[in-house]
Amino acid sequence: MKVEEIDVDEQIGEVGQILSEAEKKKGILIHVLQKIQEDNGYLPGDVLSNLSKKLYFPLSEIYSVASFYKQFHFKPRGKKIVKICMGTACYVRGAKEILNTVEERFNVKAGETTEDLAVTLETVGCIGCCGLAPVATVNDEVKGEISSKKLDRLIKFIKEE
Amino acid sequence: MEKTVKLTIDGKEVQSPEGMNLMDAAELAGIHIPNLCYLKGMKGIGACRLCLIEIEGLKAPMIACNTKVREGMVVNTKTEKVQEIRKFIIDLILSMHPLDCMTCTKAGICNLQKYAYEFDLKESSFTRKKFGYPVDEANPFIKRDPDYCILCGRCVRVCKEQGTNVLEFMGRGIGSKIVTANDKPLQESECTFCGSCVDSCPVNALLEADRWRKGREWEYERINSVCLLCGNGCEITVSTKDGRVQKISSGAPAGSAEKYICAYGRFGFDCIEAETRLTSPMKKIDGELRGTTWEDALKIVADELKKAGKDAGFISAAGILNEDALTLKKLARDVVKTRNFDTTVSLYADSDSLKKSQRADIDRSDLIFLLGLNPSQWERVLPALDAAVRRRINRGAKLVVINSSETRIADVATVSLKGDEISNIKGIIKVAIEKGLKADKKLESSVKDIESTEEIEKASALFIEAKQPIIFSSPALFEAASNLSLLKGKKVIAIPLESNARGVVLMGLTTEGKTYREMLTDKMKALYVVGEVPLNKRPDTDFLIVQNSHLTGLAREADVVLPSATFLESAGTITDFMGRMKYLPEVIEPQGESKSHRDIFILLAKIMGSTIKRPTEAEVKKASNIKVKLSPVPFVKKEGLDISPQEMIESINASVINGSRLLWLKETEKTIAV
Amino acid sequence: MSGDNIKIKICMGPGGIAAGGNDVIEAFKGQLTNQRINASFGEQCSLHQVGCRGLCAKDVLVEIIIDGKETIYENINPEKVPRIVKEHILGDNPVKEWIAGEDYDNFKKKQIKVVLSHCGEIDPEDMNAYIEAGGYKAAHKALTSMSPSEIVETVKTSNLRGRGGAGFPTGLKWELGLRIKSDVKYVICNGDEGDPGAFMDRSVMEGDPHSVIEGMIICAKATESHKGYIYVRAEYPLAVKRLQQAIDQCLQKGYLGKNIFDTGFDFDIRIFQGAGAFVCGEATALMRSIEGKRGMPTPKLWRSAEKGLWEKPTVLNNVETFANIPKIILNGGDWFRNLGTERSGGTKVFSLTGNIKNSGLIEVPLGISLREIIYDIGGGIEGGRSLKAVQTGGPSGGCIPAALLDIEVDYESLAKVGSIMGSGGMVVLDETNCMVNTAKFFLEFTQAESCGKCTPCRIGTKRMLEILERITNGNGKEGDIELLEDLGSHIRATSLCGLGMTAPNPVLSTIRYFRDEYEAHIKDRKCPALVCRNLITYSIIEEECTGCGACKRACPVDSIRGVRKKPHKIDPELCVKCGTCFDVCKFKAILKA
Repeated sequence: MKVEEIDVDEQIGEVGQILSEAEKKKGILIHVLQKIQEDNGYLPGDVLSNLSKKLYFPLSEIYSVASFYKQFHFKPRGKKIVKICMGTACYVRGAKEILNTVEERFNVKAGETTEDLAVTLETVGCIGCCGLAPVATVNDEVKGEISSKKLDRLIKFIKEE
Repeated sequence: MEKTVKLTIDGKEVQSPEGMNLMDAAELAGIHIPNLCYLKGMKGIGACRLCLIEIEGLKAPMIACNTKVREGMVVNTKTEKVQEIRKFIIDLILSMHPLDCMTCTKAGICNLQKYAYEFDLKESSFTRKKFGYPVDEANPFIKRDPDYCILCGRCVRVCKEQGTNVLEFMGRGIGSKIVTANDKPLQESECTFCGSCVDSCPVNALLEADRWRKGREWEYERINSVCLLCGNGCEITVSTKDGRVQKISSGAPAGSAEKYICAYGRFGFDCIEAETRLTSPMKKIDGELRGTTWEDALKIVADELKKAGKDAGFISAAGILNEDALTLKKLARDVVKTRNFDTTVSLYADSDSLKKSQRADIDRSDLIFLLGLNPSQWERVLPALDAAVRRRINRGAKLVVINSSETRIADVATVSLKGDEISNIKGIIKVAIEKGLKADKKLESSVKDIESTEEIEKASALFIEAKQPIIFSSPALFEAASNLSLLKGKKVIAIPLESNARGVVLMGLTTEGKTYREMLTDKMKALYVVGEVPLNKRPDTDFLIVQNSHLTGLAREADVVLPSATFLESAGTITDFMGRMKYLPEVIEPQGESKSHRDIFILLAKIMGSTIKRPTEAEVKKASNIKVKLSPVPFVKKEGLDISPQEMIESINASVINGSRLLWLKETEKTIAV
Repeated sequence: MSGDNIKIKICMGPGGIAAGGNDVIEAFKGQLTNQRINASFGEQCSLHQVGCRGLCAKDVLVEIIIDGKETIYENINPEKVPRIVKEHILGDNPVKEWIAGEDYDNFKKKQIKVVLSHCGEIDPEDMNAYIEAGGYKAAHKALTSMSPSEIVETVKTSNLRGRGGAGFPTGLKWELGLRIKSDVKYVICNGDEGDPGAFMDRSVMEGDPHSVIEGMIICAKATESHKGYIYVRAEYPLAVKRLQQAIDQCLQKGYLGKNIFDTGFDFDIRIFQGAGAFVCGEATALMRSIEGKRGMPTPKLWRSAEKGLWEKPTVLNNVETFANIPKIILNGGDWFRNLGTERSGGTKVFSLTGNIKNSGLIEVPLGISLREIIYDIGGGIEGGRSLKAVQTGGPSGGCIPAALLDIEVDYESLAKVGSIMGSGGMVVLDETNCMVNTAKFFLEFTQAESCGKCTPCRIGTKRMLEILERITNGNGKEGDIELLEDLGSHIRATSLCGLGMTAPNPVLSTIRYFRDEYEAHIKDRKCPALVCRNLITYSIIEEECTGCGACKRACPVDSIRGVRKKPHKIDPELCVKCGTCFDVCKFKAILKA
């Protein structure tokens, strides 16, 4: 969706036709944000600025509304969300090393996303699979017992399309 | 006459206007209901839950901020149950709040502190937790410390309602935070540093950045006055300690969001003690200004004025007080005996429009016209008008902007009419008459040739519907505006650029000889400049006297410089654009040897052998008391009044801006604009 | 091939899909083509995806109807499909061992399906199927032959109460909606079901979307409204798709839009997708969300019926409430009223989950006992363990102990024992569930979903959670239970909206009935159900240990010492209580206590 081309009347639909212009613009906000996120995977700052100008709608309010809902992200999210477990069991079994290696290989810090939006790296507290320590999850799929050999496999798995 | 209802609060019989909430009704009866998120004049949001009270017949406690009075209601605000609830709420808030009241700048005016004391809470009974959020203190005006924030949302609501839209809630739940868009520092947001948020903050989350160890709140003397830095003439409250100004806040009672002041008015006071501040008279010796005594300086001035006689000229800014203006006129006309005395008003207004300007309460209007005006909080052109209009719109009023140039406020207008203003006004009048509004025959015939457009029809329809329309106009378009107002309401107001423009006109400080502009070019024998005028170069004159509080570019080129008091250092009155007389006390003593304008004039007259008596209040009132009646007038846009408001306001405040923190703002805004 | 008319119905409710329903459909399609059934029978053999049948524990459920003779298979996967096709469809010899057994029959026996009558029977994407099953007769009747007040009277007679949780009488709500005059009025369907583990509304929206729309049309007529919204959470994409499809079908057929059934009545519906905020299930927050604001509840100075969405009169009901309406209009208010108890008419849908044999979606008449639900319909507890409590009402509800199992399920009696009806979540807890931990789980949920507007909910729930965390971590203090009770009752009394007011319920009700469990955590530092990790100790029973070393190798933190063939020891200082040793030991030599 091109923000510049938004047709407010079309977006608000038949049921919203009796609303005032200001109400209409507000009324389409969440829907438009959903579309922007669908297109970009997140809500890019410049798109939100354009939206603010297009709708004469304060930028602060756009951020405020979006931040209320879990669905929206202000930072790009990678295709693969990699979470390295930092629970005690995993930690003593070398989770830190796994984290360091993944950070190096993908040139990304924990909590961030690679520039090509391939990977988002995060750390988590115990996920309850201590028997498999150290563990990581890739898009919620648990990968356990990550030895140095398996670490290469994990990295390959993250790189896969 | 408003309808009233009778109810009982804490056993006291109370009469309150219908539709009032219990919070205000209780206040009327002298009963304070604790609250943290309520803002007088705004809808209660029920967030803090502190104002829960009991109503007989209802099982659950109700919030006073959002419950309206009803006939026969019996309300108890201090039952055991509600006291327990309040203690619980404060206890919870304290569990998230620093306990450094002993050094906290807001100590003494912090509502949380007050209630903790009231409910006997030394600390929270729950585990304490702080977020450790970073402090935003990258600007010299407002310090934001989110760790103190209790998320009452007052700042957000104030900022939003006045249309600035900078602060907002971010996130939700326990992690909610109040931030700018995308959590940028204030100077990278749309913030204008008006500081309304600071006034509204009940705790220490928002405060003036320079307040650390500048005195405790209870040591301050609070004095109500008026800001004279632009045409709005806003009410301010000045807090002083040891004879120095420590802070300025908007002149509204605490806990109310009714008043706005801008960054100039709030933060410009450092200029009182700026390096450029004049504290003694100066005279030019060998091309260089040197300090001298009052006696010496006045003697020189007196001699020069005597010499010049009818060829002397007086020009003054219109930010001087009524008493100053009266004295100045006497000095010029009766002592120096010249007819050349004029003010900066002649650059942007004619005296008629200012005199005919009516009174109206914007907070009651349902339709606002802005005619040829471009108020802007961001450009700091009549920012308080901009804020007032936006607030009114947010409360449901409609706005019609009529301006041949682009304006930012048109973004929030219901109808925005571009193109020639006179034809647009004529169009609205014509359509309104066609649709049934009654009008004078003369008026009717003067608009009959005009062509209407769809937008004009819309504006006209709004006008016909409106119950309380109010028309704000630039002085140049006042005639047209007043014709429109004759159809309905007669609420038409010309907005000048300086605070006492109407006052100086009423005091008769309008030239009987040369005009302001003529005096600059007609090589006066002596030119006496009073206050800060938009002049940086010495006009062609034999002798230049500059009387001002600061050493301006013009003062540097003067032959004699006389140090005057600032508006915070001088007592008197102004007459604002609606004709309301406003009083200014002497908040602090004049710096150094500086004196009020009128004192200087009186001394000067004395040296010249005349006595001017101090003008009395009765004298000022008499001069102000004029009868005006609006009647149809020809539609003309007055020529020669098209000075850029932004440049004008900036240049009459040059000393304030350059002599205070506001300089940072000017420079930062420039870099960001690039 | 035996018969002339073959119908294959595959359960594609949330449970069915999760169990692999799509693969089963594909397998049937493949088989029908391979075995040339399509070619020889043409339209006489049809494959239907249907909504939830309820018994999700046995999904994928497949029903085969040959000449009206119904056979239900349970636990079907793609591998089982060829045999069914070959033996049952082609050979007229049903595969006995896969046919749904006693559980399925019992599961069905005490249920009465009103809301769910179409779920599992008709293809939700096929409007004709809905119409053939009697759909839109009620809307037609309401629009052509009933006045708004007649509709309101019928609904009032039915004793239907709001199924979203609070149980406000629907008829009264509509009556108020009708009485208030306004140029614009709204009808809103609340489909923002968000309780963890609840999927009643989802099943209806996905399995029978037209019933919701029909209910809304009737409501619109009853309240003289012409504009409707369905608020669906974005996490339910299939519900959004099916509802949109249904709306489009209605518009095409003239059942929505202008001049419905040529009666001159107009009604439009728009779907609004929520964006992930549980609190938007609260009516005022939901309306703020549609208005494009943060979903923060607003104080109810006005009832929604007077000033709701965009300050216009608004009637808001839950999905299940609307789905009941067509049946009430067709069968009459008395019929519905007589299904339930004196004070609450009709049936209620529950999602029965937790440690129960027949978990799934059930619909029962109000007034049925909890015991019947758990034992007759649900088949009792798995693995012969004993029932401890039933949690109803989700994060706003409470736990009902096993001793109170004979209470009737209706709004009043559930409230009396400290729980609520809620939207219909019913979680069965047995002896392996820790009540403190369960309370913590629900509070964690509400605390994270607090909008943050009012102080008690924002800070209070956080403080409660912290106390529960320290109790379950073994750091509970004397007085913590009283502090929880104190906090809980104050939060309940002072919060702005329903979310905050009910947030303490799971904690308060577990303290009420299971105080000893809390005390065990605090005083004895023990979790009787052996759930709270920090309160468990692992040790090795010397007599049982063979010294095989399996536990030593498995321990992630090297806390187990010992030499081969000699009993091993766990160093409690190093042990992180992950339980890996317990899982790997083949000799039951690890003691968990």
